[in-house]
Order: sequence, then C-alpha cells, then structure tokens
Amino acid sequence: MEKIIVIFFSVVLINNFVLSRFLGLCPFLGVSRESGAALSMGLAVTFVMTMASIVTWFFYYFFLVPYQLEFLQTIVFILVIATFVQFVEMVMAKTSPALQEALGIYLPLITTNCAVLGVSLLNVREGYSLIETTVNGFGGGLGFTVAILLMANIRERLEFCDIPECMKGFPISFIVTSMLAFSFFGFQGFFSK
Amino acid sequence: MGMGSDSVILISIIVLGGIGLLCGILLMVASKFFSVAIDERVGELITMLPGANCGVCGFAGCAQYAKNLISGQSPANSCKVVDQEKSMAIAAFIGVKNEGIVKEVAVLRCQGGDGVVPRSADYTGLKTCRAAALFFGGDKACSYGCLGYGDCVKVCPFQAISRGENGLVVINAAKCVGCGLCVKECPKEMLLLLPSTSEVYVACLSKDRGKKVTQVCKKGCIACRKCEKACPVQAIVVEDNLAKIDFLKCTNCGLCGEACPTESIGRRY
Repeated sequence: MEKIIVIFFSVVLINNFVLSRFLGLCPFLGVSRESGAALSMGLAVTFVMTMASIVTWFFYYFFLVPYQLEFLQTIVFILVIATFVQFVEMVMAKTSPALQEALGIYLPLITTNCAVLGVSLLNVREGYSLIETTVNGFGGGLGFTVAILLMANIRERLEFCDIPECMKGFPISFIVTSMLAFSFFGFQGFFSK
Repeated sequence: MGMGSDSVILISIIVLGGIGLLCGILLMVASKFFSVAIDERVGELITMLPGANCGVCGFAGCAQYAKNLISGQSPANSCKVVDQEKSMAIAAFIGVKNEGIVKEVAVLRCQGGDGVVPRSADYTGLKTCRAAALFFGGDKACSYGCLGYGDCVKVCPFQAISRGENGLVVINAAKCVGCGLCVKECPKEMLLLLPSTSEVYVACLSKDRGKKVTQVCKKGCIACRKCEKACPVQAIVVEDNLAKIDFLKCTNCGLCGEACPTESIGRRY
C-alpha cells in the first residue's frame, strides 16, 4: 500500500510527465490556450494513459516475456496503443455521442503521444505489478491534467499582458513552461530517505 | 538467450505479425459492430458552407450547423456568410423554402482619427478598447468616438478589419460578410451593420450639442439639421443632437452628404 501511495504522488508531482520528464509537450502547448479545452485534453490523456498502461502490461507479460521478446516492446506498444485508441473511439461514437463530442477530437491527437508510450515503457522498466501499473498510468494522466490546467490559466492571463511582438505565442509559452518546471523541481527529493 | 538467432527472428515475426493481425481483426469487427450511420448529406452540406466556423448561425461551427440543418433544427438562412445564390442552393439541397437573406456590411460610425480628434489622456494601460473604455470612456477627447485599439480587428474571423494609420480601424467591405461579431465586441458600439442595399450612413455617434462637438471634433454631427432639409424623402431626421437615417426610406441619393457642413455623413462604395 505504501508503495502505491509513493508511486502515485511521485508521478503526479515529483516525476510529472510534462514538467519533469518533458514528455507530451505537444498536446501540452497545443491545447492549453483555454482552460475548458485543456481540461478535456487532460481527461482524455488520463483515460488513455491509464488504459494503455493496463493493456500494454498484459501484452508485455503474456506475449513478450514468455518468448523473450522484450526488445520488441516499443513497436508492440505503439501498435497496441494505436489500436486501442481507435477501438475506444469507435465504441464511444456508437454508445455515447455526447462523450465523443467532448473528448473525440482529442483522442486521435494522443494516439501515439510520447507521454502515453512513455508511461507504458516506464511501467515495464520499473517492473511494476498490474495495480502499480494502473496507479502509475492514472497518476501520470492526472499530473498531465494538473500541468496543462495550470498552463492554460496562465496563458489566459498572458492574453492581457503587454508582451513584445516577437515573444507572443509559443516563445513566451515555453518560457512559462520552464518556470513551471522549476517550481515543480521543488518537489524533488520528497520521498528520499 | 537459449535460442538460435534464426528462431529469435522467426518468433519475433510470428508474435509481432500475430499481434498486428489480432489488432486488425479487432478493429475490423469493431467497425462493423459499432458503425454509426452518418447522413451523407452532412458531408456534402459542409462543403457548401464557408468553413469559417465563425459561429454566427448560433452553432459551434459549420459542421454543427450542417447537422442541425439536416435534422431541421435550424432555419436555412442562419448563415450570413454565404451569398444569396449559395443560400438558395443550400435550401434547395435540404428541400426547404428559403426566406432569403439580407446581406449586411459593417461600417464604422466615426471619422475622428488622429488629427481630427485629439487624445485627452496619455493611456498606458492594456491595449484593448474594452480596457481603455473603462477609464472614463477612453482616451479620446470625444467620449463617443472609436478608440482604435482594435478589439474588432482581433474578433473578425475574416480579416476584414485592420488598424488604419489615423488611429481608427478600417473595414474592408469586400471581405466583410456581415457576421456582426465586431458589432458585439465593440464597447463603444461604433460599428453598424448596414444593409447591402444602403450606401449612406451617419458616420458619427456623438449626442453632444453642436458647440461641444466642434470643440473636440472637426467631422462630428453638430445637429444643424441641414441634412433634414436637404433630404427629398424625409429619410433623415435629427434626434438627440444626432442625425439618423431610416434605411427603408433612404434612396441613397447622397444630398444629405452634400449639405452636411462637417462631412459627417459617410458613403459606402
């Protein structure tokens, strides 16, 4: 139990996927213009990361490990995650059009996102159990949501600031991102003995 | 590894190929089971719409509007961006009668640019009209005039408005489709949607008395009523120290503009 709590908080705050590992930066900067869309993106990422962690865990331990094919993990994970997201989108379109309307446009964007692939690869590298894997995937998505929501709120305020022409848009966003990352470095060493 | 390199390659191919095949079959089955019937007309309708996603029709974008058109939840003339011909084509496509659309073009009801109206304050706050207007109505000496910080420029989805050199905004009538987003955005209500059949409009909003207007602006309406007398069809009247044109009566003759001593009646070409 203690290990699960440590995993959860470490992936949300200390090893935040966006701000500490610098994964998933494209949706982070692409969809952080307004907080509503950022929240939808965050939820979509959380869902996909959690489910992708679970699915890839099964594929890793039931298909790759028995045949000693661990070196195929990257290509297999990409294949499996892409299929899975496609599948979920189809199910969503049929069963819940409202949900599809809200999250649908974000799902294809994160199909082969590096944060999603990254969480799957980290899970097997750390040798997590299924429960730990699930917690790591969910926490990773939650950390992403926290980061993108913070960013969206800052960017909404930046809209009203007098920024030099050459710094408008992405340049200032990257500078803000680095400052956010700095502040998250404050969590570093939280759980060390 | 206990296996020979040949068998490793073979097993890799089999496992990866197998997973690929599995995924393919899964998606194939899923696309059969979870297929959603999409009305083909929606796609065709989307190609007929402008694709600007301006939201004037009241829906989130052209695709949403197309869906609501097909399901009959929207009148066929909600889109203001398409021209009369296209609008008729859309109505015919979904099989309803079109009530027709009135094309409109936005015009700026102010001529008080730099050199005409002085700035009354040195405003250094946020460079938006909305923020500037909060400080005693803005930094223009005329409290009715265009502030020129370009809130309308930013909101226009068709790039029809630009900031002119004289501190006012300029509307490109050829690009303007009359969506009216700028009209809603402007804190001073400077912009007016002029029916495309009308050409003459009053380019001033000042309700101050003539003497006060002349103190701050050379091109403002001073309510002298010369236009009223000049108009052969009584389409222009002065109310609250400001001339007003009834577009239903106006014949675009332009006599009011010739009579106006301050050139405060504009003409759209």
